[in-house]
Amino acid sequence: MKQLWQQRVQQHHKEMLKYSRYVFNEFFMIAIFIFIGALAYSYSNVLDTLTGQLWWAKPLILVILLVLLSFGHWATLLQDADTLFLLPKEPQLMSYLLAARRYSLWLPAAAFALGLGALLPFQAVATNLVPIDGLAIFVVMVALKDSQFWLQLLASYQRFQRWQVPFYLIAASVLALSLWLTPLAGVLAMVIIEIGLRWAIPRWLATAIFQWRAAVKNENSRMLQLYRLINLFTDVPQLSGKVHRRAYLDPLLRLFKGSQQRTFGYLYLREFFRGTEYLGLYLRLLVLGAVIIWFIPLWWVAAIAGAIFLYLVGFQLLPFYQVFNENLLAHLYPVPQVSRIRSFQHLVQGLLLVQALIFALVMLVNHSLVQWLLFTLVELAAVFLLTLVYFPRRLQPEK
Amino acid sequence: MSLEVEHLTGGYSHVPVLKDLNFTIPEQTVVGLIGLNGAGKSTTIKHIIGILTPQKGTIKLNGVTLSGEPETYRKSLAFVPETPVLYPALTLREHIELTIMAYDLDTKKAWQQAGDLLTRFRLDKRLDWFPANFSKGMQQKVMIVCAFIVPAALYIIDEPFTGLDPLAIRDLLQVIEQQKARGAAVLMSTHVLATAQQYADSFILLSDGEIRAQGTLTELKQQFGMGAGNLDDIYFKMIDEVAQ
Repeated sequence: MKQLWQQRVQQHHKEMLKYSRYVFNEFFMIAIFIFIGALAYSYSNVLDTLTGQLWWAKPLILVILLVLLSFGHWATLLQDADTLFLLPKEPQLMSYLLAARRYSLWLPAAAFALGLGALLPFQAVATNLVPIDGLAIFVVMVALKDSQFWLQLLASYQRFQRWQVPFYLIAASVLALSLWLTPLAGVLAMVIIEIGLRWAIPRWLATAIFQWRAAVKNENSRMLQLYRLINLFTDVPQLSGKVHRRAYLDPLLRLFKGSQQRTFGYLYLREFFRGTEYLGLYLRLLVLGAVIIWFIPLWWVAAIAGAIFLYLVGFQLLPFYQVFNENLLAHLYPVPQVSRIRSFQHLVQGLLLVQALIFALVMLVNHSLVQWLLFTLVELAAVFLLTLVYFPRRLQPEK
Repeated sequence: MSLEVEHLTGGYSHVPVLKDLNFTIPEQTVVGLIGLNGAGKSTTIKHIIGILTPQKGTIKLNGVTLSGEPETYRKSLAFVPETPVLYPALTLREHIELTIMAYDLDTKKAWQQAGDLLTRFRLDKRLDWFPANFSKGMQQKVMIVCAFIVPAALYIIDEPFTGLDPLAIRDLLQVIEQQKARGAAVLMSTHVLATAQQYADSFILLSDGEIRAQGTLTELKQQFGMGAGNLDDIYFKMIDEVAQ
């Protein structure tokens, strides 16, 4: 089982490495550096204005620490099929889970180190704590996370299902003890708690049964959150192809009046707004484009940037034309091919017009009316040039 | 004459799978297309529905070829595939709406027919669900509903009896009966010979891409020189003859 765990971790690392290349691309890194720089600058400015000890400093630190504590999950890396294939291995599962628990501690520990490191200057200015106290608080935090994972492990064996509230109450008390009395008291409290847990857990688990379904469900929802985060930057296959009902869009979809000639329009519209892949792509580029246009002072540079973004979106939407190719029935409809191309053209045109409109609204904020008018004309010209001249040519040579 | 297939030779590449098929399916008849896996049943169907183009020969539906008048040809034909194909982003109601749109049907009449079929197949409470999440049998029922709201001249049903529960099979056979009475022709490929024997008017026995025999059960019995016996016996005899 240990081996299985190692295998799973390797797989997981490989996958995350693959995605991290997309997430931490140059643009994002530059943006992050600028953001962190700006944050650090304003943080130091705020620190300069603080004098002496402040009554609200410790409560604020306590709240920040509790928020920080909620970061990080117990990653079991269990998969759906495990509920069937690993069932006979249940007695040996504990060693797998313990390895998973230990592994899961690294990420929150690193986050705590960063967070507490960032708090150090504030703590030094506004409270009576010294830097070495920060180290002790770090130890308390990691120990708290450790005990949280123990509780999650117990919960997956149907023991202490409702551990959350008591846990955070105890965590708040221990952290308060560390902040107001002395961090060493906190460390001491955690040593007692940890020893107690390690003594009690084998006894609690003696006759317990592992809750496979719940554990796999937790792991899946953990991975889903992770994928959602990554999906902001790049397409995740586990998410693409997923369809959401999005019933709130129904009034919008109903505006479209169907007819035989517009059969594919009906299909494309629903597939686009209920799917994740192309809608996500469109929204990502829309937001990015709007932000970039916001920061460009020269109207004609902004106009070119806007046109480039229109081209990018339109170009990346082109494969969406093929989305029904694998559906046999879509080939059988007594609907001429021309009307399918026209339907697709209308969809892209509509989407690009909305995009151009949003870009124009952004331009309206910090440009003169004449510049705005010129910008809008350029964007509209780009939309019609792309959808009426360029795309039909790209779609035609199918035959 | 509903469907006329003459000298059909075709397949996926230049090597033909089907060799010179000739058969007709007149109005008001149900024809069973019988053959082992790989005999060419699906390939035949793919040629008729028009996703494969014949290398030689012609396929006419009510006197019209696909290349001649594609829209008329396609409108006269409805197809229930073996594996359900559904749009993941469309609800059951929208699948029906889409079919009405694509085949340019009269909305009121088509919904009447759809309501009838939905109740028959116990799907009427699930109109706003995504059929992509249904079980396989239920998905197949959705495909049946969508195909039979089209008043087609020819219905092609690929393996209708696997995956459906007995009640649904009975209901499907009733629907086929109804359409036949209206004047439609039906072609169904199947391995379930007992049911085929009971409900089909005539049979086409395919083997290695060739038609070995065709006709009604009585005609087939004569051809194979069997006095008694059912479709199974004829079928096994044919296979033994091919093997020799």
